[in-house]
Amino acid sequence: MSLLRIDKIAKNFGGLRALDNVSFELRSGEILAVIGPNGAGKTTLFNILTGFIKPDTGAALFQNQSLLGLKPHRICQRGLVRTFQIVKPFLELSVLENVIVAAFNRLRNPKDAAQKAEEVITFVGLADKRRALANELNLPNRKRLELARALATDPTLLMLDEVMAGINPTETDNLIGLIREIHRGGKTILLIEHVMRGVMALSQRILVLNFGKKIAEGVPGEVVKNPLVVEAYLGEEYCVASR
Amino acid sequence: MNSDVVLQLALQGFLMGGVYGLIALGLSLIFGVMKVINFAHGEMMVFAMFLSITLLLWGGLDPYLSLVIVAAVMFGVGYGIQRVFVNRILELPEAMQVLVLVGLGIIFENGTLMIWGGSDFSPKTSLALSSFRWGPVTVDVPRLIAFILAIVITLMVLLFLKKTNIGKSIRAAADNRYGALIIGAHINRIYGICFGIGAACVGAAGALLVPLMPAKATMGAPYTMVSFVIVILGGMGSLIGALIGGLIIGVAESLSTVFLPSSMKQVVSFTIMIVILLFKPQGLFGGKG
Amino acid sequence: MKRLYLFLGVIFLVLLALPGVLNNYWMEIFILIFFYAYLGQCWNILTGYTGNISLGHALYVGIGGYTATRLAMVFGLSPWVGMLVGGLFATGVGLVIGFLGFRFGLRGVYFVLITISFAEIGRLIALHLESLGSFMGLFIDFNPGFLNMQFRGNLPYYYISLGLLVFSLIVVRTLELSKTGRYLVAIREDEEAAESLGVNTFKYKMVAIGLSAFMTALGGAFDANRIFHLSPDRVMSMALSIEIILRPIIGGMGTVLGPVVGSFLITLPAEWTRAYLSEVGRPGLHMVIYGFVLIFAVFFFPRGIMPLLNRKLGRFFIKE
Repeated sequence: MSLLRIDKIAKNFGGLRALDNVSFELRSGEILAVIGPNGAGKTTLFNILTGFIKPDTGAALFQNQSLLGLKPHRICQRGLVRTFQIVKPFLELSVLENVIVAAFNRLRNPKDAAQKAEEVITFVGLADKRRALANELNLPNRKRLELARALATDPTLLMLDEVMAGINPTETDNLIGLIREIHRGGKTILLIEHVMRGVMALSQRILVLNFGKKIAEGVPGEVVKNPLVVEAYLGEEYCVASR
Repeated sequence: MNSDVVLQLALQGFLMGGVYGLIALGLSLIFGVMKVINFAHGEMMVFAMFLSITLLLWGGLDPYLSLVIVAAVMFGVGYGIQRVFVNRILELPEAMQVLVLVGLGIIFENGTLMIWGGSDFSPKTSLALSSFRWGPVTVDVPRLIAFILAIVITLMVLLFLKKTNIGKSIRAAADNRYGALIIGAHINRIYGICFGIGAACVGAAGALLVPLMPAKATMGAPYTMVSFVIVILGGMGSLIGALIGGLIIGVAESLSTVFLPSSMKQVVSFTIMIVILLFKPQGLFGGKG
Repeated sequence: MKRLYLFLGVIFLVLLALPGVLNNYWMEIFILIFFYAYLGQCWNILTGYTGNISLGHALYVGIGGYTATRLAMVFGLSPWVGMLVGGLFATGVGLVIGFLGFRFGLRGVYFVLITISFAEIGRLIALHLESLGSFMGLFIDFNPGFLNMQFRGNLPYYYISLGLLVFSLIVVRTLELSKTGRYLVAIREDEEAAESLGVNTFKYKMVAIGLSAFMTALGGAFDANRIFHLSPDRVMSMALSIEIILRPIIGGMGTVLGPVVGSFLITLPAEWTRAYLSEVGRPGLHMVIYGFVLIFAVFFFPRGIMPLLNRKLGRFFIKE
C-alpha cells in the first residue's frame, strides 16, 4: 500500500534550484533512506512534507490525501512526524514533560498522556533520566529524546533527519537497534542520513539526491554500486564500502 | 480646507521631523547594535533638556551653544549606563531587559523631577519668538534652526559611522555580535560608545527643543514612543531610515491635527506603526525582516 | 506536593483571618498586594506561559472598568454582570491583537510594540470620548450594596480581591496540569518543535491571550468599584502596564506562585518608601529608589525569585 507518494516536487530559493522534479513512492512498513551530499535538497524535502515550506510545483500524498497546504500540526495529527537535524528539545522542561507534550497529539487526558510518555521514555532507554531537564542532557540523549517525542505522537510515518549525526559508533549502533525495533512495531520510516553504517544497516531501499535531482533509487546493494552515486560522493567513506 | 493652513502644518511638522529624526537616530543605533529597546530614551532627552536649561539660566549659554556641552555630557552618561547596567542584561531574556530599561526610564524621569521639580520651565532664549514669512507660510526661526542643526548632527553621526574605524566597528557589531567578538573587537567599548552616541543624539535633540516648548519633567514618554514608531517605520538599524522616518512622522502628526484634536495625534503614529509591523516589519529601509 | 498545599492552605487561612488585626491602612495595602498579584497572574497566562510579552495589558483593565461602569450608569446593570461583559469585550480586543500579532508572525520586540500601540490608541481614544468622561474620567456614585459591587470599608474588598487572586491561582494551576497548559509551555520553549509535534500553535496562543484579557478585565471592573473613579491615565496607562508586569517578572514568570511572591516582595517596600520619602524628600525620590530596586532585582534574580525558592525549599515542599 502506497503510504506516501511524491510527484514531481520542485522548489526554488531565489535562483537556487533546491528540488528538481523529485518523485518517489514509499510503501507502508518500509524503511527508505534518502541520501546525498550536503545541499542535495534532503532537508528541504522534509520541510515540504511537514508543511514548513510550500513547494513551487508538484504533489505530495500521504494515505492518498494531499499534504500540501496543511499546517505542520495538522500533518502530525494525520500521522506523519519528523525529528529535526539540530535537535529542538524543550530545554526548560524535563524529559517526561517533553514527551508528554507529544503524547497529547493523540490523547486528551493528562494521565493517559503521562502514561504513554512513560512507556515511550522507557522504550528509548531514558527512563532513569525522566526527571532530568532537557538542557542537562548530552547530545546522544537529546537525540533519544527527540526520537521519543516523535514516537509519542503515535505516528504512522516517522521521518528522521540525520538522527545519527555527531554521535560515536556505539551510540550509533544503539540507535540503529532502536530504529529497527520501531520498524518491527509497524512504523514506516523515512530517514535522511549521512552515516552510511546506519543507512546500510537499516534501509530496505535507498533514494539518492544530488543538486535537488533524484539520481538513483533502489535496494542498497545496487545503489552503492551505481556510478552516478559513487561520483556524487567521490571521496567519502562510501567508495570504500562499495569495493 | 485652506491649503495655506495645510502647507503651514506640513512645514511645521517637517521641521519638527528633523529633530524627531535625530532622536530616533539615537534609538536606532542602540537598537540596531545591541538589540535593546531603550525605554528610557525620551526620559533621557528630557533630562538633557533640563541640563540645557540649567546652563542657560546659570551661564547664560544659549541652547544652540550649550548643545555641544549637553551632548558631551549625555555621551558620558550613556556610556556609563551601558557599561554599568545595559551590558549585564544583553544575554538575559527580553522581559528582563525591558524591566531594566524601564527602571532606567523611571530613574531619569524622577531624577529630573527631584532635581528640577514638576512645573513647566519656559526660559526665554534669544530667538524664541522670531519668525519670518516665506511665501504663504510663516517659518518659526527656532524651529528652522532646530531642523538645520538636527540634520547637520545626523549627517555628522552618519559620516562618523561610515568613515571612522570606531564607526566601522560599531556597524560590524550591529551586523553580527559574535563575528565582531571573534575578530577581537572590544565589544564592551563599542557598545558603550554606541549607547553614548545614542544618548548624545537625544541630548542634542533636547537642547534643540528648549526654545520650542516648555520643559516638564514628565514629558518624556511620548518621545520614547514616537522614536519607536520612527525606528520601525524607517527600519530597525537603518540610520537613514530614522531620519526619513522622522520627517514622515513629523509631517503626519502635524497634518493629523487637521482632523484630530492635537492630543490625539499619537494615534496616527501608532496606527502607522501597527500597519508597518504587520505588512513591512523591516520598515522602509530595513534590511532583513 | 502535599506539604506545599498544606503550607499554602495555612497561609490562606492566615490571610482570611488577618483583617481581624489589620487597620484600614494595612488592609488597603493587602488589597493592593492581592489585586496586583491577580493582574500579574492574568498577564502571566499569556507571557509567562507562551513567551509573548505584552506591555499593553492596562488596556484590558480599562476595558473591564469602563464597560462595567458604563453599563451600570446607563442600564443599571450590576457590575457583577457588567464585569463579565467587559471581560468578553476585552477578550474580543485581545483576540484581535493576538490575531494580528500571531498571524503576521510578530515575535519578541515586534509583538511588544504592537501591544503597546493598541494600548496607547485605546488610552488616547478613551481620553477623548465624551461618554467615557474624557480626561476627567468617570466618577462613580457611591451606592453601597452587594449588587453594586460597592461596600463601606475595606473589608469586603479585601475578601473579593483575595478571592480573585485564589481564583487566578486555581486557573493557572489547572492550566499547568492540562493539555492546554502543557502546549502553551511547549510553544514558549520552541514554537517550531511544538508545531511539528501536533500543537496548533496559533490556536493555543489565541486561547492564552483571550483568557488573559478576559481575566484582566474582571480585575478592572473590581478596581473601578473600589476607587470610584476611572480615568485613562489611571487605568489604561503605560505606567499601569508596567506595574502589572513587575510582579510576575520579579517573582518568576511561568510559575503559579511567581506573581504572588513578586507582589508581596514589591508592594510592601514600594508602599513604605512612598509613605516615608514622599514626606521627607523631594517628589520623585521614592520612584528613583523604585527604579533602582527594579534594576537590582533583575541583576540578582534574572529568572525571578521562584527558581531560587524552588532550589532552596523545593526539596522540603515538593518531594518527588
